[in-house]
Amino acid sequence: MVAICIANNKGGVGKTTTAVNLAAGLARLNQRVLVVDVDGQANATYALTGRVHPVPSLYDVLVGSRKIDTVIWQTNEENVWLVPGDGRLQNADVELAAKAAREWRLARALHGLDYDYIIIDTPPSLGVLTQNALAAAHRVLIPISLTEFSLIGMDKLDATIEDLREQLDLEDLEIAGVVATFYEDTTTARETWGILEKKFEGQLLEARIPKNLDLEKAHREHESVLSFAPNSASGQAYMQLAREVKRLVPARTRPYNRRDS
Amino acid sequence: MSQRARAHTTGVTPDPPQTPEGRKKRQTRKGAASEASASGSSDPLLITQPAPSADALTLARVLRAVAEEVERDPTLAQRVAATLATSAEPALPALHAAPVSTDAIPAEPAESGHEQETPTGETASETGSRVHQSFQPRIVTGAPPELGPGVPDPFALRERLGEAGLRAALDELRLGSLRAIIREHHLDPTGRLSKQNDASKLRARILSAVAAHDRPAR
Repeated sequence: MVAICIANNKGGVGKTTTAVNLAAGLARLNQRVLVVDVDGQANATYALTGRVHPVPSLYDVLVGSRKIDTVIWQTNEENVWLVPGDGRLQNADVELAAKAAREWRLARALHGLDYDYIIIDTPPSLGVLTQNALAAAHRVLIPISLTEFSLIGMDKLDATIEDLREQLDLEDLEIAGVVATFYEDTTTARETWGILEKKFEGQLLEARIPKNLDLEKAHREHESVLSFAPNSASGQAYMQLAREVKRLVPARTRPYNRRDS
Repeated sequence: MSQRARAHTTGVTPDPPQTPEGRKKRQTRKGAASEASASGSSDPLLITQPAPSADALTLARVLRAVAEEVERDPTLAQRVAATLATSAEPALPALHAAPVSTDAIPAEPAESGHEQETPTGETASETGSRVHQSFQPRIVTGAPPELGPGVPDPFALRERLGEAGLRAALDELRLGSLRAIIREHHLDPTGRLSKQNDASKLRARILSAVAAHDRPAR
């Protein structure tokens, strides 16, 4: 079991789309995948099940005392399960503030679960929920859109992950890779790609996720692009990403244990 | 694995993004409408796009406030969704763009994933709707709560809701959920439906399987 956190403090870079479609891609490689929706917008929950803000959810696990295995759902994708999120998570940062070891609540909840991969979708912030996601993860996958805006504040995520490594004693938390999203054959995209190649030397993954409408349409039909349009450019790109991730971060046969690095 | 989740809340999608082209078109149209009202032009496009009155703007503000409250309060959201689902008459007949549940939009035909797109990347239907609708809050209610968590069980739904209830529930589901029902309940042993993108055919298969009580052994 390997837990991969999809993180970037910027919004609109394709975190949820990557979480949903990477999970579906790994499932097509015969992996059993659990998606954990830590984002209060709960878009991964909607994309995989068609449900909007279901209750109970991860909120009841993190803020309440519910066991996580009572909120695990079968999704519309074969071999993909889900711990749904809901809107109450947007207040969870405040509600968790007074709780002891608040950054470790997700890691503790996941302890002992037995899947091949856990994919954790995060909100576009670096609050307690994202800290929980990073603390629970063995690896971080960073989607970056190939746009001018994506380069602004890029250093902050680096610095934050480094801070968290120190604060939470996460020396073993590694970046699995950086995946380029919203790829278009334009000068801006090519130049941004060049900058990322230098900045993330050796970490920039080969798969580039193109900007296309099939991704959005797949969300609307409550399934991955691999189910909706498997032969589309984005479907093939996410399949390539899944193969790359499986090769770079192979699953382990043991149940989840955060200290298992 | 326990899969019990009852409550079900509602989110509200924002207005469509305002592209520079869209703003330009609206500004041009608004200006033209003012000119038209002054000159008595009979251009039908201009007549259907009058400048909004103070009452209309107030109503729009109220609706937005209600939408935000619906997004915030899951209980209210359920009540609003139920009211919209059961109301025979449009709640706001004066508006030419009444709130629409996106889940109630009819399923697209088989080529839904590959429909014709305009050079701007929009579908023709999307482009058309933007021309005629200036304010269109879209409430995404998701699947109804009676479906329970996970992949719905059509056999259990028919027992609980009857055939009409099952049919109504299936009408609310999109391709992904319909495919999942067929997969999880082994309703397509020949595999012929595995690449079927016509939601109506998937619904028909589920209904026929349930009606025939041909639930195969797992």
